Amino acid sequence: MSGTENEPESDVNESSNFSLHNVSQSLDNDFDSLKKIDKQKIDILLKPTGNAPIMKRRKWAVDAEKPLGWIVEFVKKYLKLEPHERVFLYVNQTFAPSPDQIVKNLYDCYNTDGKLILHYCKTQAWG
Amino acid sequence: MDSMHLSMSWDTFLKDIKEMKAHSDSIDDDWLLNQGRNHEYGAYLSKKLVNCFSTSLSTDTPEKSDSLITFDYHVVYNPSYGCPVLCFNAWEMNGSLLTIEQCWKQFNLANFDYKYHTLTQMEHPVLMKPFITLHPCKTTELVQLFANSKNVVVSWLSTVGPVVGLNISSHYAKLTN
Repeated sequence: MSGTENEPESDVNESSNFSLHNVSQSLDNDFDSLKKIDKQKIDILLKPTGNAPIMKRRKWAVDAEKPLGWIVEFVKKYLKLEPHERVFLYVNQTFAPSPDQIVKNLYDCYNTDGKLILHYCKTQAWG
Repeated sequence: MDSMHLSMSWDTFLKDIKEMKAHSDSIDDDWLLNQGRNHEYGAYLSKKLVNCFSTSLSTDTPEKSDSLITFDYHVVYNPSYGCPVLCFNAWEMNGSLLTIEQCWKQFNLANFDYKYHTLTQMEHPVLMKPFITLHPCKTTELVQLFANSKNVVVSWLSTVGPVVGLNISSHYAKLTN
């Protein structure tokens, strides 16, 4: 008796679980697509200035929310610089935005033809 | 490399800091234009900034505590080097000045040998008092990169300021272009 009563109950539970699972999965999908929108990429062009070495690849797509300081660290790593060497990035070749500036803001202010052009220079520490 | 002719003239420096001061006023930034008395190269910019630091600077123990530190940044012309110089003094809430060791620690220089020729205590060119100074040796080399800039002081300051915790608002970018 009790068994037959329980069976449909558990069926109901399972199906409701199943539909909830579906819902949460589709929510996950929605969330993923939202995240993809958030993870907008911005094209940047890195050009050397002064005595900075050239980079084989100049064009990069960077996460729009990254701060400029992140690109500085990236360039330092890419060029395999010594710890006492510093890298600075410039917009318009004349102004170094502070490292906490977000790439998207810089793109909004200084983009040319859909790209953010950043000039990089390398210096020794002040010595 | 002959860097002598690349040095910045006093007239250029004066024009640039006056422009910077005017722009600072228009965006309510807090730069002040000061005039040293009886001094040929007496004009300089200064700005006070209060920063909160979560690491304790006053002791050697890694114990963490919040402290408010006031930075008094100065942009001065150094006639010997023929270039602008960024220097500052900083003090805690109780008025005690930060030592050079504390500044090295604050700006992540403490573990490197090059700290001795990056940030040192030098005489302020106008006030003749000791200030923690970003060493000017390489400044003329840096400044020559800004041949296209309409305001070399702003270009230079935007470059070196963040090294000692002074971020320059992107509003100033338009002075350079």
